[in-house]
Amino acid sequence: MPRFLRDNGLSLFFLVLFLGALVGQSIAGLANENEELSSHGQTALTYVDFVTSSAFLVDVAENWQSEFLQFFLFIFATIWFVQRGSPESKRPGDVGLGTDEDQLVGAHAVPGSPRWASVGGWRQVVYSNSLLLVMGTIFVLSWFAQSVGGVAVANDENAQHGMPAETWLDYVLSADFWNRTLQNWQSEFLAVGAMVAFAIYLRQRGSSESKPVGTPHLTTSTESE
Amino acid sequence: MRHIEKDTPGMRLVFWTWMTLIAGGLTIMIALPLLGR
Repeated sequence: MPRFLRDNGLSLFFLVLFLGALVGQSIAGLANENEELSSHGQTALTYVDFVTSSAFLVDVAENWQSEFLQFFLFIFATIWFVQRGSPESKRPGDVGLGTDEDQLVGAHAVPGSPRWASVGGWRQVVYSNSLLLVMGTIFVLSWFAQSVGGVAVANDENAQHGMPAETWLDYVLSADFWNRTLQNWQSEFLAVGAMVAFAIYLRQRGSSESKPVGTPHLTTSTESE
Repeated sequence: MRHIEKDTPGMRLVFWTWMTLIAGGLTIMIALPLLGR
């Protein structure tokens, strides 16, 4: 196997799955949309019409926002909360931001440390929180995308039923927006919570998401104990 | 001994591929509904 594939297999594996699932969603979504249109005696959409429609984009965006919220909260919560016995957690007692020495920042940076880890000032603060900042920004933007796609779909339907258009704010306060939002959130929180708890007692040999099989249940982080 | 090498061109490529994919996706998902699709 070429070195590039060997070194980057994990992210490439998910890239292929993502693109495949997105194309699959667009094909199944178009078929579903055209079944409904034909049952109302309306003309079928083309593939390009469908993938550029707000109806498709809002379905993509609502799933994106919940995934990035999940990781945003997971990264944030693992700073301040622990789960004894879970490999997803720091050791009880390690709660908080850690010392500069532990984090290899400022004067404790080592050869090869990222430059912004040792420069001090705002750049070091930004870099020290960059994962959370990026995940949070993607969450906010994809939630906003869900809202602008959603209001476009709602106003299409309003127009078909001879009803007045909604504003963006009307839509953001609507049952449809919160129904779409919360049905995604609940499943993300369930899965993360279950992962944290199950990994106390269950193992997957060879996975970085698991403790080594023979690790005692009480051991939280195999790296720090 | 800690290696001084920070990353490889492959690591940078996967990082920027994901970032570009997401930035592009967000731009499309925000712009098209605002343009009245």
